[in-house]
Amino acid sequence: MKIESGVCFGLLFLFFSSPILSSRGIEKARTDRLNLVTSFPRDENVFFQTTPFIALDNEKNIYALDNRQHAILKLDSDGKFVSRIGRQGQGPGELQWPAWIQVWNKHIFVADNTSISIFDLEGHFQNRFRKFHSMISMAVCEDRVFLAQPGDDNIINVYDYDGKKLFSFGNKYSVDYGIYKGWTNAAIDGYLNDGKLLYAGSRIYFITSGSSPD
Amino acid sequence: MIRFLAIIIFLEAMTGIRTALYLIKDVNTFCRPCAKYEQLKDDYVRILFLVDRDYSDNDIENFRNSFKILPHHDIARMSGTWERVNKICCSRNRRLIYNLLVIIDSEGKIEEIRRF
Repeated sequence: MKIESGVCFGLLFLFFSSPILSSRGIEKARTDRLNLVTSFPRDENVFFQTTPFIALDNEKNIYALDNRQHAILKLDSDGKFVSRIGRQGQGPGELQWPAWIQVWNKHIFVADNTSISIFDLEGHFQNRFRKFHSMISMAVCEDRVFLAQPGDDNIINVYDYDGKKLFSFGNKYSVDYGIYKGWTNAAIDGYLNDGKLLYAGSRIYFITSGSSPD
Repeated sequence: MIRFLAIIIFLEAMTGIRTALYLIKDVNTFCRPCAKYEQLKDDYVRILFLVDRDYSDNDIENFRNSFKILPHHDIARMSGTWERVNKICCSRNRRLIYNLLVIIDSEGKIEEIRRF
């Protein structure tokens, strides 16, 4: 009996002192049940052609990026339609298969097939700069735009709002491309270095599904 | 169209050396804009990239760095004339935007036009 209780105590001690729980960076996530508060769009004239990417501003306005409409639909916090931002095209203020959106400091940042476009919250076009490598994720923080681009020399490239490249970091996996027959190098890079950039608590995180590159 | 193209290419290629002109209108995930560049940069060829008119200076700098364009190969914005050339060459399919590579020999004759 004494031996069994000793073993149990030992196991409990090991569990609670394990590095997983004691690690500073990891906290136990809350697992509350989600309750539906509202749903949108509530305007009959508004429809989405695909599941939109969502961003919110400080006033809880909703910016829903519809990839197939090549536009952003701005809705108020009740889900009512406010305005439509952007249209299909490759000129200034136009979007071509947009896929990432973030609102930061009273600006909307949208990444599409060819460029990063910046609008104010009213939808007026401000600026854009081009990207020359395929992109897997985007995050905006302070005065910098972080793009995860596995096709470039480093994975993460950092630009200012005018598109000036400030620096880059993050080594890629170095592989023998020859073993992936029929794949382009860009596709191999994208597959091996897939991940998401996330802004939280004044830090930028790159969450990758594989083990970290060298 | 060919005559129109020939006249302006003659004006561009008066230097007497083989010239390669890239007309860059669209750079996206599926389209690599520097076809044959690796091959051409090793030869004695004058290479000029003409990019869209609304490229900013930062865009041009990023373009050079992204595709490792050598410093002595110029990147400039397209003039209206070259815009027209590109439009004419892509006029058969208006839904797609193409880039063009025009190679001109030392006598000013068109050696190759490649659409990509």
